[in-house]
Parts: sequence; C-alpha cells; structure tokens
Amino acid sequence: MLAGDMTKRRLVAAVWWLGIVISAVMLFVQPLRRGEIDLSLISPFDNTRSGHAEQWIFLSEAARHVPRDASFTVLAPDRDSEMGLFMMAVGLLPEASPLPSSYYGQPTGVGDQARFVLELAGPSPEQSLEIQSTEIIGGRVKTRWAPEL
Amino acid sequence: MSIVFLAAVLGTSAVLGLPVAVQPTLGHLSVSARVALAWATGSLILTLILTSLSAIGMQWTLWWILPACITASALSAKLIKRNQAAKPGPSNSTRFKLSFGSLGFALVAGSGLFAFVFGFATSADLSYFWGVKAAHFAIERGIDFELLRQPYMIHLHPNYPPLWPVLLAWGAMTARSMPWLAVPALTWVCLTAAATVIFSVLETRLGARAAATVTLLWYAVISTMMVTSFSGGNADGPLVLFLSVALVVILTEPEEGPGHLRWLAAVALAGAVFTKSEGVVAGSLIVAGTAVRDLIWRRSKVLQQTACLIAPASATIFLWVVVRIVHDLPLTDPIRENMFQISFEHMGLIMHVCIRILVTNVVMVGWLVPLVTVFLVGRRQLVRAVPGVVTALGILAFAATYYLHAAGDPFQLIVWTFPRLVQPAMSAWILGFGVAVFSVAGEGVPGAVLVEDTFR
Repeated sequence: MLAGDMTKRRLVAAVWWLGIVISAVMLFVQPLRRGEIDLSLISPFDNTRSGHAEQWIFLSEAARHVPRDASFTVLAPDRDSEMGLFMMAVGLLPEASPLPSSYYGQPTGVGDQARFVLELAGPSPEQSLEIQSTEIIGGRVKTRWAPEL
Repeated sequence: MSIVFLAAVLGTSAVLGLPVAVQPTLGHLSVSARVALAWATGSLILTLILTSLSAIGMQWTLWWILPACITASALSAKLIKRNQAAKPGPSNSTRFKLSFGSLGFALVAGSGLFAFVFGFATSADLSYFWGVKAAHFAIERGIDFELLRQPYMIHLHPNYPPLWPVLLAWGAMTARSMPWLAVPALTWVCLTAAATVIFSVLETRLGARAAATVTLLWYAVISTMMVTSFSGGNADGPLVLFLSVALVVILTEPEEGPGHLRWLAAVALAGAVFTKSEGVVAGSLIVAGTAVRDLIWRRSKVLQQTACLIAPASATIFLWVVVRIVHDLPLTDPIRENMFQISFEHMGLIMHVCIRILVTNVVMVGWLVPLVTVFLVGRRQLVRAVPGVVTALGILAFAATYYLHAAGDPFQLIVWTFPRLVQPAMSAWILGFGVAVFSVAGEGVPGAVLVEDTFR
C-alpha cells in the first residue's frame, strides 16, 4: 500500500475513534449531569428530573384506594399536568374506568360523574360536603358519596 | 415478575425466530448476531400471530403460541441437521479478544444499561400510551379495540402499528402484571442486538477493525441520543433495530451479483413498518435509495429485486390497514394529522429549532465524523453510501414537511418529537458513510468476502 494511502487510512480511523471517545464519554457522564442519583427503583422515571416520577408515585399510591371497575377522574393544578396525569392513570389503573375532567386542555364535563377524584398536590378546589378526602403521598383521593352513575 | 416478563418477551420471540437464525445464508455471522436476529424476527412473527388472533376475535393463550414454537423448533432442528450434512464453510467471525474495541463496547453497553435500568432515559410515552396499551391488552388477552375506539382515548394513538405494545402485552400477560420498571431495559436490548448484528455483518465485509470502528461509533452515538431524548421503553428502540439491520445488509451487498441476504433486509423492513408509522417513511427511503444505487451500478433486475424488498413490508401494512378498517379504528392520527393543510409561516421556526437540535452535542458528532472522513477519502465508493444518505436526508425532509402541517405553534411538537425522529436518520448516516469510507480506507472491500462463495 502507498504511504499516502496508509496515512489517509490512519487519519480516517483516528477521526472515527475521536468521535467514539467523545460519544462514549457523553453517554458515561449523562447520569452524573442529572444531579443526585436515585437508585431506589420506585418508578421508571426516578432520574429523569421531568416531574413524571412524582406523578407516578402519587398514582401508584392512589390506585390502592380505587376498587376495580370503579370510575375515577384526575385533577391537577394546571391543564397540561392534568392531561399528563390522566394519560398515566389510564395505564396505572387499567381495571378502573377513567373519566377525564379535561382533555387536551378542554373541560369535558364527564369527570363530574366519577366516583373517585385523584387530586395531585396543589391548590385544591373548595371542599364539598359530598366528598370524603384521604391524604396520600403527592396529593389526595376524594370519594364521592353519590352512587356511581 | 420482571424476570418472567423479560423471559416471555425475549424467549418466546427468540424461539419463533430460530429458523431464521439457522438459515445457511447467515452461517458466516457470529452466534450472538444470529441470536439477535432470531429475537428480532421472532418478535415480528409473534406479534403478527397475536394481532391476527385479535383481529378475528380470538383471545391470546399460550396454547395458540405453543404449536408455533414447536413448529419453529422442529424446523430449526431440521435446518441444523441439513447444514451439518453439507460441507461446512469457514467461519468469518472473530473470536472475542481484549482490545480497544471490546473495551469500548463494554463501556458503552455498561453505561447504556445503567442509564436505561435506573430511570435516566425513560420515555414519557411509555406511561402515556405504549405501556398503557400493553397493560390493557394484557388484561383483555388481545388488542382492546373497544378501548382504542373511545373518544377520550385518542391520546393512545389508535392508528399506530401494534408490534411494540403487543410484544409488551404478551410479556405482561405471561407475568400477570405490567412490570413497568423492566420495560426501558428492552431499549438497551434492542440497541445491543442491533450493534451485534451490525458488527458481524460488517466484519465479514470490511474486516474486524473497521467493523468495530463503525459499530462503536454507531452504538455510542445512538445510545447517547436515546438517553438524552428519553427514549427508554418506547418504540424507537425496536424501530432503530429493524431499520439498522435492513440498512447494514443492503449497504454491504456486492456491487455485482445478487444480494444473498436481501430477504433478511426485507423481513427487517416489515418489522420496521409494523413498529412505528415513521417506519413506513424510513423503509420507503431505504427502498428508494437502494433502487437508485442499483441503477447506478447497472445491476440487472432492479425492479424485481425492489419488489422483493418491499413485499413483506407491504403485506404487514396491508394487514394493519385491514385490521383498522374492520375494527373501526382511524387510519390517520386523530390528534396531529391534518393532511395537506400546510402553514408555510412555520418554516422559520422549524428551521431554527431543528438546526439547534441537529448541532447539539452528540448529534453533531454523529453528523460530522462520517462527513469529515468522506472529504478525506474522496468520492470513491460514495455510491455505496446512497441508501444511507437518501434515508438520512429524506427523514429530515419528511420531518420538516410534517411540522408544516402542525395546527398552531409547532414548537412543542418539534422539541418533543424531532430528537427521536433524528435517530433512524443518524443510524443511516453513520452506517452509509461508514461502509463507504472504510471500503476505501479500510482493509476490505464490501462484497469481497462473499457469502455465496462460502455456502453455494
């Protein structure tokens, strides 16, 4: 092989290896860049720092208070969080019946028919006499006395 | 619970895909690559069976899958016996040895596994729809069409292809609950399986050192992108697996004579289109790029070869369209898609945000390294990169066009989806230029170690 070709070959390999080293280091330091590392494996989102872990833990706790086949709705301090919470709740309470209070930011009206209200911590609407409230991690579960519709 | 889930998802698929792994045309690949291919193709077979059962109203049980597993095992045993009777060909795979390559692979694999297992990379979409569908399908023992039809369930994207949620549902049904914590690790399995196949295919074409270099850059860049874009547990892992397998097989075809592994690329493309809607776009671009390259090379029967490449993918698309029509599911995404209602006023924002994402950290490394080395080696062998380059640039063009359809401000949509849309494009870019560059500068020429010579 010509000397020029050999040099070119080494140069190409060197550039690719430089890319490999940079990418591998970036992957390696990703966990360190997220701050404190939590190895408890409580939720799939423990170290994403996205707020999903808190919602997950709240819904996992709330799921214990909602019987199978019972209807429920979710409430959150803002509409975006409420939509996210509702989507997550459909998966974490798969044997209950989800009724959204709002859907993609729009009030639905069907949430009022739900027997259980899973309310994420935050400014709470006025307490009604028809509601029994149980405080759990991350929020509260309210049970409506009215029979299920 | 997680162990049973992983055993069901990985084990059942691997058994169903065994006949693929023992194919004589794959005899030159390493055992680990063939195991990876058995799992990948088996997951397609498993989900096709389960989707078909649901389509005709049958509940999933082990008794439906058991005969398929027994048939696959018997077929594999027969193929192995026949292969042993034939004259054995030389193995082209290198034995494991301590090197910079193996150390690099271990570092990337270990870092990736840690990030995916300990919740650094989990996708919100896992808890919003991929895993949600799986949890419901597992309880219903089939695709829950009634759930997908409900008006307040359009966030589940009822039109999306079913491979990933059906595969997860099979595992959850077997484990009797949905082990959410275990799912993100499957993304790591997909990436590692893809890296194993890529290395083994490239090794027989480019030599061990060049193959290790291309594979490692691919593995490190794609793993980092998956972690930084929070793709753990969603369908991007299997999509990248299927598309990368298809591409690496096509890119390493000899310039003259037929590509003897094209059937494998065709099966992988079927897997891609059955995994995500983007799989149809990326798959079409791979097919188009391959046809262009074959025409430039003046290969014979281009039309026939292209038809063979798209046949399995077309069949799986047809199946999913029929299932949706029969069960009254939407054919397009009810949340996002307003076909042909384009707002060109979004163009400035789209360009600005997309370019920002494309020049960020590891993404920049992924674009630059192959491009710089192309300038170093010159234009020789660049035609070989055409399927990869067409796919990469085509996906970016598709993304821009898609965002032009956004109703309202597309900023959130771009920030949410573009880092993930780039992943298959990046995979195609690295593989395309990697094979082209190292076929000039490396120690081998693609097609030099011919499968057909060994196994004819």
